[in-house]
Amino acid sequence: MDVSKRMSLPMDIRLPPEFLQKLQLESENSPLCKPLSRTSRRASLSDIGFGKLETYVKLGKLGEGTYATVFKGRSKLTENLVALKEIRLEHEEGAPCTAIREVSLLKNLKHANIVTLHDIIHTDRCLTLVFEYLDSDLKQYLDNCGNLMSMNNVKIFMFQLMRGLSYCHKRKILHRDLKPQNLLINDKGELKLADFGLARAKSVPTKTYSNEVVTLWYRPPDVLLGSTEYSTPIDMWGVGCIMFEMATGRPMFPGATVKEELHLIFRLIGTPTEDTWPGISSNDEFRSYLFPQYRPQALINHVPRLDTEGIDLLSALLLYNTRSRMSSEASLRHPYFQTLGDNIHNLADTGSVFSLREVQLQKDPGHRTSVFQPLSK
Amino acid sequence: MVSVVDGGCGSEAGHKRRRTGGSSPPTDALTPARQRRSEARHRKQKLISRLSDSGFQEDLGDSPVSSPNQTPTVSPLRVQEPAAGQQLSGGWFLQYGDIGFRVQREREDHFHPCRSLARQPQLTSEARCKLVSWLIPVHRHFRLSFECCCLAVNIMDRFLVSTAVAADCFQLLGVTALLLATKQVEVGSPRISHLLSLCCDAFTKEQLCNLECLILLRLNFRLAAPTLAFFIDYYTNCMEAAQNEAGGGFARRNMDTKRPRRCSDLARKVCELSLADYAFNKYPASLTASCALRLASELLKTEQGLTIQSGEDQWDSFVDEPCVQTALSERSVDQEGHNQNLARECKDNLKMLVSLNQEKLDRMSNM
Repeated sequence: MDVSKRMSLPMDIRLPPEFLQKLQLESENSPLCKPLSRTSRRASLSDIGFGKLETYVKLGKLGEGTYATVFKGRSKLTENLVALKEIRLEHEEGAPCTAIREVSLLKNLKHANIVTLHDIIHTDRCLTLVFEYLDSDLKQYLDNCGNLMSMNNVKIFMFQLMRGLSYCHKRKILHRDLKPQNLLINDKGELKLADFGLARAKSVPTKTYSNEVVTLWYRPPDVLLGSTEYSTPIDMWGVGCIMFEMATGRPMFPGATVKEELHLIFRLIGTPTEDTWPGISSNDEFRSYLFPQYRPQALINHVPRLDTEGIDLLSALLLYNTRSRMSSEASLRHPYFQTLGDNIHNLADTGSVFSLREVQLQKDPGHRTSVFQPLSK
Repeated sequence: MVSVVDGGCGSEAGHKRRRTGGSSPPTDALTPARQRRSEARHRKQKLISRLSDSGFQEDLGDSPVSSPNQTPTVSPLRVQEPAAGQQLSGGWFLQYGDIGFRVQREREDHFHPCRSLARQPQLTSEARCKLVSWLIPVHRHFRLSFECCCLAVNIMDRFLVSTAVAADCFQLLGVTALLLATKQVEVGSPRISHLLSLCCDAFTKEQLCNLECLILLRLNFRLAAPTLAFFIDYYTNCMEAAQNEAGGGFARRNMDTKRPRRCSDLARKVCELSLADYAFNKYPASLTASCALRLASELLKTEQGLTIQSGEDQWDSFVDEPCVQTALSERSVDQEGHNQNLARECKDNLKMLVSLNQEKLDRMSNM
């Protein structure tokens, strides 16, 4: 089959300008087709400043993502704080797929536990994504409370995380880079998933945009051993690690290399066998490491503050067999969350869990600065 | 015109060898009856294989075969091996299938490029057919998924709804849409220079990058469209689940567990044909997918009907047919609000499309 072929289409040229004009008029007068009506609506939005860079004031650098630089900013329109994510568009291979995926995926996600994309600004060389601004993330939150969280708050954060993730997973969207830094938290205690840029790359990148090392701590063993299966259980392992970290105040598997990461996992959960991980004995990568045969340890000894239901959920998230690993959707109905009440399951997608009176944050025992006292702004 | 019959003369022998050596028992162990059956099966497979490259390729002229990397001959009934990381695993369908399906069904209207050529002054349905019939082997050349191919056509069509395109830029639009689709759903993307060389370097990299930006802006970055490929995968998983349930009590339940897969592979070929035909542009993806599966199931049944030699075949045509029909009707056309007439029309059109291309291809192979 010859695929290399210039199509034998007429070598004909530009369209006559009158023709284009006529088309333009027609399309403006008959809003039959959705994309056209959308563009015209967009035009009116841009009149008041949407889609324009000058609408936002840059305030300072927040950090480097895996493929972009993030700034804090303020919208002149609403006076609200925003996060401005700047993505360079000029690359050897055109627009970066990470940017394309982050924007196209986030456009479909409207949920109380997922960061909102307010606006997209396209300039000559740059694409700027305008996100809602949240002042903290889970990592800072843990630092702030001296790594000693109220177990009630752990549960509320876990539920919000599961809720956001379940919404994504239903839409075939994986996060693939869950970690405390990517879970943003505002002053109400609302938790939102952020940083959806990762492509379906073979492995998650090991270096950031600015050459920082990417953490391995939340990666599932199947991915560490080179699995390229694109499926939702990938995210659930990291959720387990985050749950452990909130309940204990320290990262679960803080490995610096792939080998060390696997070693830490196996030492605690037990070295996988055909029983716990069907097919593992024929995994060449696994065999080449020659890990000792560790027996699984009782999780309760490592997370003494977590109740029985919590331990049960954690164990279900940290399963080697991806088919048995608990899904986010199923976990929402796990007995661990029963104390949050029934109404929490009837919330609209965009409804916050804190709209329910029975869901309230408690003061964290180790908490220093009073982030969650009523603010008198 | 040799290039037209992809995998025709040259690879036919190899194809036959693979079939008999592969899934069937060694030849000398065959009873005459089973031998007859395997021959009949082989005939059927040949017939299906000729559908695989969309059957429109004679339109593409007659330049000599000179692709840099030999395109692998695609065995029609091979189990489609998705390249790593492209497709959701069966686990997702298990955990999220029905909710996920509903979500995609709700979204599909917003991504449906209805009558994409209606306002195009220069582009005709023939040109679109040519272009898509070229994109199909190109996507295969890069070993991209069917999902990616469907998405590329969807992106192209939705751009056409928004923007008038000159005929001599149509091919550039095709490859750029393909590039965007790979960036959205594939593990890796072909290099721009490679894509341009497939267009005989008629366009520059700058032109392609500009068009890429323009597409993103016109589509407002909305690339995550529900595709034919998703719906076929979903319905196939339903059929497998239904079959497992129905076959649960039988001792010989694993007699033909591959049946839904074969049905879905054939349906995928049918859908591939439909991508290139503008007449199918008006049907939503979920409708075309379910009609293609119904048709594929009927075709396989007819093929099998000719070859009934043993109880096995009777058994599985007995058990499969209701499975397919109930699995499909429960989830798709009948209860999801598609217009019944539209569904009938779509299926009839698919049937016609298949038979049209079949004749054309039969004639070619006799030459």
